[in-house]
Amino acid sequence: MRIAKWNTAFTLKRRTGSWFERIAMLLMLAGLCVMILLPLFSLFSKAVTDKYGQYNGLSNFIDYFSTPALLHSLQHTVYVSLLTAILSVVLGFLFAYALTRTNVPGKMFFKTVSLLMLFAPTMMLGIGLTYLFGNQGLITTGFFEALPFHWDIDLYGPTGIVMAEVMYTFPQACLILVVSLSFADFNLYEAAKTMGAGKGRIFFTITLPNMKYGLISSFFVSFTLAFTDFGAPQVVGGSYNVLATEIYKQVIGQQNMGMGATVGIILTLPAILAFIVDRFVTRKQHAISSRAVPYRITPSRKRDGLFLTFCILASGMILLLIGTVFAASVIKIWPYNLSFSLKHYDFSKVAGGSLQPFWTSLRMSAWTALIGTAATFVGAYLIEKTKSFPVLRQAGYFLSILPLALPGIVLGLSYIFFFNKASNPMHGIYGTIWILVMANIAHFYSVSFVTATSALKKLDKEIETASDSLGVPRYKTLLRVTIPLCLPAVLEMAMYLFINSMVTVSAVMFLYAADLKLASVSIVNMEDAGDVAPAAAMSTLIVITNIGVRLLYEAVTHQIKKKTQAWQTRQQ
Amino acid sequence: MPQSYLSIEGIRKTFGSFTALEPIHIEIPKNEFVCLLGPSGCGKTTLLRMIAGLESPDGGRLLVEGKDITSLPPAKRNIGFMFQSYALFPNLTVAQNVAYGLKEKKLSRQQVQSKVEEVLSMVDLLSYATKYPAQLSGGQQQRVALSRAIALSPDFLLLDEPLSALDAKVREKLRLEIRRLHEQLGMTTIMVTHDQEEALTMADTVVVMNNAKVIQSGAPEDIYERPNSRFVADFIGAVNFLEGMNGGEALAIRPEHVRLGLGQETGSYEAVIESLEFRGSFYRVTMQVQGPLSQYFQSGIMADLNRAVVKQYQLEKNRRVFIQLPEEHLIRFGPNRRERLEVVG
Repeated sequence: MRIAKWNTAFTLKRRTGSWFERIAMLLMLAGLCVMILLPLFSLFSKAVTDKYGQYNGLSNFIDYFSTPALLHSLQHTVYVSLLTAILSVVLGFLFAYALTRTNVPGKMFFKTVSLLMLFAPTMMLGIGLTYLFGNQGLITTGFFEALPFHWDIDLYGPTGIVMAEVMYTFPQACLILVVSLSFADFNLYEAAKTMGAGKGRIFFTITLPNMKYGLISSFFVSFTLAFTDFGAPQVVGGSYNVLATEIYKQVIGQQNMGMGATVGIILTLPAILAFIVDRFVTRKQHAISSRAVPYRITPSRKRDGLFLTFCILASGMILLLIGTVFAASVIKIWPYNLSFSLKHYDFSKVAGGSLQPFWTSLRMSAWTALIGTAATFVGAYLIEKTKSFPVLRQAGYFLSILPLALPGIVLGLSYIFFFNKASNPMHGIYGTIWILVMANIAHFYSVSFVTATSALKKLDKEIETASDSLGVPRYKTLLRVTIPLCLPAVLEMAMYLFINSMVTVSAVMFLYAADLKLASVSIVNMEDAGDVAPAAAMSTLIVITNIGVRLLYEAVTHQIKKKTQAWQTRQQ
Repeated sequence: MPQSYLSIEGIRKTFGSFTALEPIHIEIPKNEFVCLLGPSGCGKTTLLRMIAGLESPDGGRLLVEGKDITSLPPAKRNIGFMFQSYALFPNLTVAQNVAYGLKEKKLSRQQVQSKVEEVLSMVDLLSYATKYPAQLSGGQQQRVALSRAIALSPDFLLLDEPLSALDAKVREKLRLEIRRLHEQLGMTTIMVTHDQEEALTMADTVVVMNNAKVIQSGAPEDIYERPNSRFVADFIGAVNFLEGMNGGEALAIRPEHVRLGLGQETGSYEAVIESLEFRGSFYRVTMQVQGPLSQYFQSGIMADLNRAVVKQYQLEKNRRVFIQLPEEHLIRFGPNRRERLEVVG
């Protein structure tokens, strides 16, 4: 049987590609190097230089670990992230379980609500919490003294950060867990029942082991997101230092680039660990048997009731938070004058300056979606479908998934070091919108790369050879067959890039020029300057834009599905 | 001896430490229907893809009428290739699929159109021209792939396991159809298959391959009646091996040639029926030879008997019978005879 396996592996091998493909491959690699590898290299070399640019070995790291204030930020970050990851996985599991294994009514609604968080910048979660639990918060003041009791949870500090981060990471954990809960073989459950296993035993011997990798993966994703987030701690962290805010202070406040780079490298460590664990986990994840039977939900009113309560509470919290920010943005003066007003949407009197940042963000996100989708798709195509330079293709693959391990803040920092050097021939893009677009493409490259790759993997492996045998150049087949077939994935990539570019702050906050301020950055500035209501207004604009883009995506996808129904296999 | 049209001269290929093809020599005359037959992993598909130019050999040459085509790209070889998965473009209609390669030629719109109609009517699919592949049955998809492959009027039609994905009834119908197209269009057709019945029924010449080598090639009857090795005898049809009988010589006999009687005659062996298997038009009877001679029949002996014989002798399990192995039907391999490599032509 070994030989049979070999044979199929071989039949996939093809003659070496055309010169056209080879040039495209080299260009792609050069692009990935400029976008990712070289900036990272600058970061590493910066971490071993002092304030004046002199090489000083590991003394930045030694300084770091011997300065109690700096070391505290690391301890804080670990503590906050650990707590976030545990809470997110537990809550995400309950929510995912409700969506996949119970008969809770309104699943569509709950699912949609949980995804709302993905459209919001993390600062917005902080702002929402401020309005609820802050000094003037709705709950802190007992609904503005309407209730007889007050409840101060001491928001600013670890409490607030963990709350915001849980809300931020919960939908991501939930998404992963829904997927791993959906892959179940009901045969196993029936077999266990026929052998007399009780519910608890079934849960611990079948359900949990089955989703082991999903649990590990969602834990690491939540941990890493919380570990590297800047927005939430900036708003609700108070004096509680975490690594991301520490970098900001070192670089922007004290202009200590070397220490900034050092902290950046430390910030990357858990992400790299998560990256390795994730690679390991996906490799070990065994494919489910083709004879598996999908899970059938058994009726249980008690279980459904409990999970419904949980879903209502969780969704209620999310809606309350977002609703509060929306409301605060159209209220004259929180909490003293609750009448309706749109004055916070006139940004001319506040730190943000005008509506300009919003338009800049739109422009940047549109370019990122456009260029990023094209670049990532071509990159994925070259790696997945061509046969030239096997070693370089491997390198290309590695560089394409490397950004998964790079926190935005580290990427942004690397970009300053790399592009701000006068000796860099690409120095010209510094201070323009293009460096922002480039940073965003690099930051979100991996996820859209993986989307494109898995779409391409689903296609018939012989499309390219069929085109060769019919004497048609491959680029024509790419345009006429491959891209039309991958259109749903292409749209998904574009939407993903757009939405994330709208909400991100970490990668771009070091890179924007004064006249190119972004909406997300202006939220940070306004909030910092005490203009919380305008910050809420800007957040609202971002969320509404993203919901709009998502709806547009759904509509277009629906149209495409209708139009291409005849292509899809009948049996499926 | 027919003039060789395609010459495969020492084509070889290794992938890392694995040898996919030992140097292969085959001569194929024009308008022949050749089947490359062998178990999976024997290198037959690799060889076909090299003929198509979809894979490049490590050494050796491919000649068409004496012209070296080894390094020509597929587009310049004038081949039609049909893939095992069909590789139809799912977003293009049947007509667009067939026209795909034609559009690269300098043809007018009318010429493309009429060519598409011509080949689609050849496979009786003209009325499906505007359908998408997913709207067709497996057999129809196969015929679209076939008409796409012949649309460019190729000199060579190369078929990679064209029937393996279809069910038995459709498969039999399409065997005839492929054979008919081959004769009608006067192409040289090379088909890869692991199904011996397919090879025997369709081919003018069968090339049996195993472990990256050609083991035997020849007309289907030759291969069946005179296999040159145990492998070929065993791979094609059912066979009984007689171990080390005439001074260590290995012999074999097909089950349909084993004769049966109820009384002892000269040269007959006593045997006991172990099982009777009903096969429709005949019975396959498995027996164990009795006495000292049983050492030559380690795995028993099979005989294919028609129903009349089984009825007449009232054969049943544990019945004692006598078998004869007619001399003229014995296949001889010889004790030390190496598996000889033969070439076509």
